[in-house]
Amino acid sequence: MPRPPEGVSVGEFATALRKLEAAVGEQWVFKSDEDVALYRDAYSPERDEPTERLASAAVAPISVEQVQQVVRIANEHKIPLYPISTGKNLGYGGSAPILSGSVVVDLKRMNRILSVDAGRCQAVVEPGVSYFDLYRHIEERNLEVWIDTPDPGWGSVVGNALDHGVGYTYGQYRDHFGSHCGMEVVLPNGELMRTGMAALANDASWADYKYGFGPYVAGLFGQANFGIVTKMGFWLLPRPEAYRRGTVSVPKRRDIVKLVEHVNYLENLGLIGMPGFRSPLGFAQAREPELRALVAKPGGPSDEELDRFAESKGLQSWSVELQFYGPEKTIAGSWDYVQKRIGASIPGARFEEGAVYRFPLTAQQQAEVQRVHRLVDIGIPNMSIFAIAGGRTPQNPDSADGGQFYFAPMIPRTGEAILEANRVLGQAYRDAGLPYNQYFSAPACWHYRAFIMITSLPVSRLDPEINRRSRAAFQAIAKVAAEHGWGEYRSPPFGVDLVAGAYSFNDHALRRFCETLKDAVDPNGIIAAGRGGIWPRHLRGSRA
Amino acid sequence: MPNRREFLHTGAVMSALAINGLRAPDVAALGAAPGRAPRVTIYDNRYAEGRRFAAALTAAGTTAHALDCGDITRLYNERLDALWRGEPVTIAGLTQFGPMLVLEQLAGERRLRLALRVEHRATNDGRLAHVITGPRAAIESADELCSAGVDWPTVMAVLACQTVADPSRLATATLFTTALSSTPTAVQEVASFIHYYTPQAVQQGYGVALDGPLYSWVIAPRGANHAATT
Repeated sequence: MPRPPEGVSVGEFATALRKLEAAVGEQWVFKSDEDVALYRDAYSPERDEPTERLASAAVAPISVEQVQQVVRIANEHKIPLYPISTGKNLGYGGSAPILSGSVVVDLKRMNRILSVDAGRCQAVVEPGVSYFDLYRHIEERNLEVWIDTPDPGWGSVVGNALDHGVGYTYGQYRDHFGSHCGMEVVLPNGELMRTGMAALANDASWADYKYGFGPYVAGLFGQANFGIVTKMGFWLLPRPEAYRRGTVSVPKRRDIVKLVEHVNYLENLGLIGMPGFRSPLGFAQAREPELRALVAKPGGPSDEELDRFAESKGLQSWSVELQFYGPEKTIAGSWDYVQKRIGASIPGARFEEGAVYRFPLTAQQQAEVQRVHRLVDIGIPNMSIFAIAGGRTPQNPDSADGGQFYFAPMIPRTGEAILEANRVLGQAYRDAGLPYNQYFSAPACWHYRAFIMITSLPVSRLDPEINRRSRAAFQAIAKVAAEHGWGEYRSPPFGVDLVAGAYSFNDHALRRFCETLKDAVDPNGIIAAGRGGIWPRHLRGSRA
Repeated sequence: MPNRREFLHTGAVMSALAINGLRAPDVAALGAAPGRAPRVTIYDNRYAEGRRFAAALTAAGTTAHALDCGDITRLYNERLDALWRGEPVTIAGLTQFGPMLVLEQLAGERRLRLALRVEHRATNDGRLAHVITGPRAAIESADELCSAGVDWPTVMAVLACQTVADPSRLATATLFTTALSSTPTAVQEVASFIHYYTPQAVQQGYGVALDGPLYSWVIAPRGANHAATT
């Protein structure tokens, strides 16, 4: 018999589990230690410590009706539930609940692809559908649409969107929650609701128009705990005729300001997909002791010193990879335009042609592209990033052995913000005793109207001291970020209160509003306590 | 053919089979349980240790598959997924951390579990530390074989033929050996794009960290049912 959730008696929990077994089938309620252990967070930085977030049991319904029954039983017995789609968001909690003792509602068995309409570029899926599943479905039918996939692509399409996950192609598609259209939700009282056009009694355009009529409430179900989402519509990309990649690099440190302005212009016009910024100069640290000495000197190097070093070595300070999708001649013209525009604006800018593909790929190209290209850029899900995650070296002493979690603050989409974030976060990491690629860290551009200065913090299964240090660093650095107006877009479970607490305008009016909603729609507080930093009334006192 | 005891005295057991140009040690003579070889072996062929591990298990009757530069995607999608949809069969590997983690997670959905995990980590004094989490019998067997001078990838191959999933008898211990060979470092071209998984050292140009720890592991069927995605 598993340990019951806090505040629930052993007898009450046993009764609830029996009812759950009657609702979904005995074999789909998991109570043994070995079964429940599968819902541990594989990247938990609290592993084997008293605070590790652990489920008490799990239940795996196969239908909406079963989800409704689960919710009603939970309400009756005040059992906290924690829904997961496939539980693959490693670094952000995985399958584990935020509130220990919750019963995980595992939606993997709800894995139907309900529709893919290539003509209207849309799909409607259940939570158990992975990016691999949807990709295969499209490929097997030779449908002329693409998915936008995160990296890795083993997770749930619905789950990633609900976690505000991201991808790699055009902005409107790589914001996965933003590209959803209409959802079905089991509310905390067991009632079934649909949003947008799906709310029509006989809908004809579930995934065509988001808003329907009246308030747009779908946003309440992302990173939140107001219901269990059981279906979502998504917009898909039309398969482009061709893809082209090109890299622009600029010589001076402060050229990043102009470079970002140009890239923003190109992206806001819809001429490019996700840009990829980096610093070729920073990449030279391993082979250039003089550069390492510059970076390490007290007070750090000036912009002029870095520029002189770069010039002496023929290195560029910053670069950006640009991705173009569309008719072959059109994207060739766009790349030509980029070279003219930036070349006329930034002295010393260089341009490097990248890969060009026409679609559909031939079988031979399929094999080749897997070796030479980031597949996510062309909508192909994969797990190759796990091949770069491992490896402890003298320069990287704490990586691997337990994974990592992420500190991911949003900063303004400007070059000045990149330089400022490098300065501030570099100092914060130093103060926390952790390495940071200061002066050279580049932002991620997944959410296309802001930059994410994401870094990873190591997790160990063997050394709890590494985990304690990483958690302490996260807490310290998040506070520094908040002081500069930078809030995180996601959080590992241990950090949700800290991260949510930073969104504190007008004495936490946002949080108080969410709590008011929570009390109204989930008075027993059974759904995903703590998710998004929103706690039910009876647990608010324990908030960190 | 010498038996296990004779081998421990002579260190001379090698089968006639070979993989990747290696003569394969005879793991049966070293104590591998007859008929208990994992169905599939997965290895990182960039490492001499991975190739040796695969050679030993191939000689024991398993099918060995190399990763694609450390990437598990193709192998999982084209082979393991279909295999595990059919039945939960035992697999073993010698890889970096990532592929082991991926397979551990996916195996959980198919009624399998990580039954043995060994981290092979370089120490500051030039040795290798092998942190074994698995059945106590496996630890004892590893200790005996390593003490007898059997190279550690072969020891891991023997363990892969002995291990079953039994969470009630897991223990952790650390053994020390000398390194089998110098592993390659930074031989892989680093992608021009910095991913959030990209270690900071790699962002500074230290290359993909091929000199990091390796992991030997066994994933084996477990008893209870679970939320399969089939």
